[in-house]
Amino acid sequence: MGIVLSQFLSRINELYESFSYSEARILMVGLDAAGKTTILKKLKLNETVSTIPTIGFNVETVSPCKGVTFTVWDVGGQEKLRPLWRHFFQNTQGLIFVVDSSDLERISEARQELSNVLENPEMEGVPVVVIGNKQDIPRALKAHDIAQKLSLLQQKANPWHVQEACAKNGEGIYEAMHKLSDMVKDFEKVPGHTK
Amino acid sequence: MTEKNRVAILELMKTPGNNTCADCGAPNPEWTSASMGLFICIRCSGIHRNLTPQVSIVKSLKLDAWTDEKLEVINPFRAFKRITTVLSRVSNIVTEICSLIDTCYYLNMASVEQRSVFLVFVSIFCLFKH
Repeated sequence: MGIVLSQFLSRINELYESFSYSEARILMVGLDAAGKTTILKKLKLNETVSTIPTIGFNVETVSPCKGVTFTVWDVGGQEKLRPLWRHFFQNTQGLIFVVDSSDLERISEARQELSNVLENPEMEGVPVVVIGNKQDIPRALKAHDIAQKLSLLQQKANPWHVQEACAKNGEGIYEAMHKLSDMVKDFEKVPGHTK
Repeated sequence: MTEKNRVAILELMKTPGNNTCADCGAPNPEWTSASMGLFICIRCSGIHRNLTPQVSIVKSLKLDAWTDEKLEVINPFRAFKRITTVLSRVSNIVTEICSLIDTCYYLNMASVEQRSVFLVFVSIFCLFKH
């Protein structure tokens, strides 16, 4: 009788775990003035706040879709802050890379920084969602252009997705988070990776 | 080179006019609109960033690497130096052409047409050389 009960209880426990909240540690980086802090505040407060340049980092716990809780670390993007990004890599389960799609002059700089991040052994296999922000500006780069300009098509080590978005009115941000949560779940299933 | 530029920036920050925010007047601004050549405080830099980089490129004086070209925008003396070098180059071309005209004159060519054709070719050659 006791064995049956304990089996029943463990089954209930499994069921509960499958429905419970999954948590993930997400790192958000990108060049300066790409809109990282604006995206974070939009996710947290659902408000468009006017931001000032981030010195150091912001961290918020957000729940962009049902059953998912992300701890998002938003790190400043000024040139001298970029070498500090690597200190946030450990145990990161998802990367959000924000680019300013209207800034054509600095897209190659963004490519360089993204490849620097992904070259790090700690970021191996980590899913990447590239947010092409500021789509409200005319002549902003579209998703396939961004993928091409960031040489993501050659990127085999990390699963990636490019999402067009506009942090000002919130378009595309929740889609990006949804996609990221799916990718993080797949990443968690990969054996041999430590949480 | 970057170390030299860093020192140059620290000096620029001290100069009167640069030691207050160009927009709100707050003391000791540490940010710039690198495209407009303004020294602004961090709060105003947030507003400038909203104007998009097509209008105003915001850079930190301390957290960004400053190359010589970027430094030129916020340092009027450097910009002046560059203009003078360009001007001197132009004046060099002009003197060279003038001396060639003199040579042609002394060459005493057969006809005016021939001389002018020669001149045009020489001028084009000079322009390409520079």
